Amino acid sequence: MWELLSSYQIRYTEKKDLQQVRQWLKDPETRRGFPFDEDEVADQFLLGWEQLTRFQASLTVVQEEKIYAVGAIFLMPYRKVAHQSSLYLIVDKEHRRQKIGSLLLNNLIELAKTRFKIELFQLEVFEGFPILPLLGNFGFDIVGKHPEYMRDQGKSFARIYLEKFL
Amino acid sequence: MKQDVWSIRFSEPEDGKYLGNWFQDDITRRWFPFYEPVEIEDTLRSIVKMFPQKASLTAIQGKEPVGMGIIYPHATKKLAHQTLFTLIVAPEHRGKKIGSYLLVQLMHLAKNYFGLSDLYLEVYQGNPAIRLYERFGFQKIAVRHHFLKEPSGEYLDQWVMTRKL
Repeated sequence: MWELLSSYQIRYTEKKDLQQVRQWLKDPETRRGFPFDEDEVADQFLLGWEQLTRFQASLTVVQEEKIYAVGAIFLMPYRKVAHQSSLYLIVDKEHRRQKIGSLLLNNLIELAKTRFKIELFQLEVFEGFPILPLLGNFGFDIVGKHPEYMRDQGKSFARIYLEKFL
Repeated sequence: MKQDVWSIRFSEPEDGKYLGNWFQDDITRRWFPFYEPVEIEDTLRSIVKMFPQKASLTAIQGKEPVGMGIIYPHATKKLAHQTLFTLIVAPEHRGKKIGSYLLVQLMHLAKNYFGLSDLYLEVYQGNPAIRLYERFGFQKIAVRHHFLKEPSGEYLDQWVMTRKL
């Protein structure tokens, strides 16, 4: 598996990569992991992500120009919270469970530590979202649960708080 | 003993300057994520933006604002049933139950005007207001370690507390 992974390249995200993210977010299953359904809110979210690309805080996994995953470190703008950060991560739906997410997460953690001197990650993930086991494998600890935080298609989902000291 | 008399109204744009003054207070600032003047201005802008939505209440004594409670209704349908809120009392008016009074009114506003079923808050360890929130039935659901790093290097944990309306 890792041999296969070596054929992927990781580079800083370019603004045009976010068009692919926009496409992925149109998929209802992918969007379930995000707190919005409205296109205009998704656009605002992507505008924020675009800012992160300017700081080289976002990475893209590619193979022969095809984009397989994009992830970003959400840099906190205020001094008292600048030591910690959140993460965004999306893997192409057809290429999940192939360790691409692990490859990207590993690189994001290194980028956070070395370039941005981030001391810890503070994440919020919705209950049942497939990224949770991956985060567990990477040593993220669950530090809280907000029951019924999100409602989607008649069901309620908790918001899970996770953290990892780097 | 003289009894303080307050009234409550929706926040108005001119209340922003009082809020800005409260944010300058060192003890108050300890309990918020902002620190630098530009961060305070940024926070103020985002709060004052909520005023036309009637999502903010101001407690008044005489003609002077002495406290404020703000809810931040979500723009997205998936989260529209709940929201975060902030409560702040002018430093010189603390300990007079203004916070309790505001919180009662804010919960009423959230439930009856915005139709919310849950409220939550984010508070930092050691904040005396935690006692108030506990008294009102808010329960701690998360402790996020080292969430704030004071300029002195001291870390503060963030508590997330929630309750049904």
